[in-house]
Amino acid sequence: MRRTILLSLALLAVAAGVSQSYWVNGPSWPSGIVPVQIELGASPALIDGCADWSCSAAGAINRWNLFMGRTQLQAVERSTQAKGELNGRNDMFFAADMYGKAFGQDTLALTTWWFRDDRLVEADIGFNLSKKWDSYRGATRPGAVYDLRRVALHELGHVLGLGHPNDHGQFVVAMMNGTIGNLDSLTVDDIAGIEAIYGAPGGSTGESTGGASGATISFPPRNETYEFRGWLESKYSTALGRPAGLSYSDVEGSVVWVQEYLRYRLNTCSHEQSVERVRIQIAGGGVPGVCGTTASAPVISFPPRNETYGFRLQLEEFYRVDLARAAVKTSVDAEGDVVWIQEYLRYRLNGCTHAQSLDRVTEQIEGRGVPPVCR
Amino acid sequence: MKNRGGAGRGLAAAVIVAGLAGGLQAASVVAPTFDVMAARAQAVFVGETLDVRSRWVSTSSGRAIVTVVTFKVIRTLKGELGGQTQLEFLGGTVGEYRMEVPGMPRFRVGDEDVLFVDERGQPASPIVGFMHGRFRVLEDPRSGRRSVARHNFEPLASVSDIGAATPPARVPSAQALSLAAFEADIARAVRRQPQVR
Repeated sequence: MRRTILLSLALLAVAAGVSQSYWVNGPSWPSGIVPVQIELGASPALIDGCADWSCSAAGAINRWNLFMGRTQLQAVERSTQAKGELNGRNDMFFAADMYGKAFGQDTLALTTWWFRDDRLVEADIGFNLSKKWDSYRGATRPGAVYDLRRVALHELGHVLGLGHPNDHGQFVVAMMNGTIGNLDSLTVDDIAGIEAIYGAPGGSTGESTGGASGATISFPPRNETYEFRGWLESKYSTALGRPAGLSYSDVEGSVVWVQEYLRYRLNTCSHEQSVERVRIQIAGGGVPGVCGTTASAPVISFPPRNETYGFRLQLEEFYRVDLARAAVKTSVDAEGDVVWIQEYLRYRLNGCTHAQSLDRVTEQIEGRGVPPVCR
Repeated sequence: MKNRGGAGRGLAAAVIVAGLAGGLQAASVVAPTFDVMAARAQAVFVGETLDVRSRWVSTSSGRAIVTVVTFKVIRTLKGELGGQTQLEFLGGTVGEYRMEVPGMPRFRVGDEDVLFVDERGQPASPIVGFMHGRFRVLEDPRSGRRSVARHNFEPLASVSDIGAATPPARVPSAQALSLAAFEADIARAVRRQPQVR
């Protein structure tokens, strides 16, 4: 007898996921290392600077690893293993078909899960060889040239046990949605999903998007940091007579994202974890949580300046490439930008007021030594 | 979502989000438009699932599981079909083994759907657009009105929403396209378009 789906049941199916966004498929990998054989072969030079497909795919693997606790994927780069079903390996390959079945005109890649007695024993990823591929960030390029890294990010999410939220009545921004688009990085929903399965790095269950549940280090209002940065601009151009140079990240972007980077760093995220979290925010993936809480200390220590400077250089690339922003003029070079924003924030977070912090940075810029913090 | 940030952080993020995120989409299927779907399909029919069974098949690199779904053809909207037809999908369960392909349409005996089918090249999913060419037939238990929803049960308001670059806003089921109207749209699209390969 024909069973038309009753509307009420269908609505339940749609509504079921509203309170929970990501979709966990079922059994996951045990704790430990899960190797992924990258058997993608050689490639021409790729847009994002990767030398080959293996680099691009490994980048995707590393992105997931930044948010996982009890399990880590291991990229076996430039693997010479042969693909196959139920061969005990997790293969990632280009192919004209997926185990004898064509991909179809609209499918870029497929993942297959293999379960035995309801245990996940293997997962393979096939990329559709008939499509044009490259590796790049930002909006999907015209001419149907697909970004291998973002598709790999999506398929690796499947390997790890996540399904398509939009196949289950969810309405969220997520890399794990099932249709190609401009999103090129994980989102808070994807992170919440992976942390629900494997926990967050550092042992937290990461119930929401980052792990920490205790007190975290708070930063001053951004308008004050922005005001400081305006003062710095004036100091460089007028007092120091620095000529105007070009920067792709404008003053507001610099203030917002350097402060965000430092907020993550001071709340126990590594450099890589912090860069990726800011990257997710810039890409519109939401605001990932911090990585934990620090033990209280008399003075809050900041990360080495070379790392903040490294982040600032990446920020330039985000703005230039991903956001396609035009360069703007500024008298403060990238190094001065991060050094003095970081110093200003170091004073602010260590008991100094806005005015006190500004005075102390002035002393440093004018070569009158490094004044102590205010506590 | 918990907000762990300081004041104002959401503002700058929101400005940038608007410029880059591009809706809810991610990867890894390109959603075809309705016209492409109608043109590319070898067959379009309203069908009821009669039987679902899985079996092992040999491949060039080992073996895989496929699932054969048998449909009663209620109405054929494009192509030539008999009273029943079968479609084969990659994945399924045989004994202790289960092979799954994320996003693969799953059918249960008794399901009623409108299906856009393209079996050329023996695809992993013979549904046009992998899963996008499956439309659920829903029935309001009170009014008896029959309407159409996407594969994920989202009510479909208009065929122009299919494959739209920006996902359309959700609509209440009462505003979903009726099955009769959807079939009429399909018939018109089939009449006006040449086959696309």
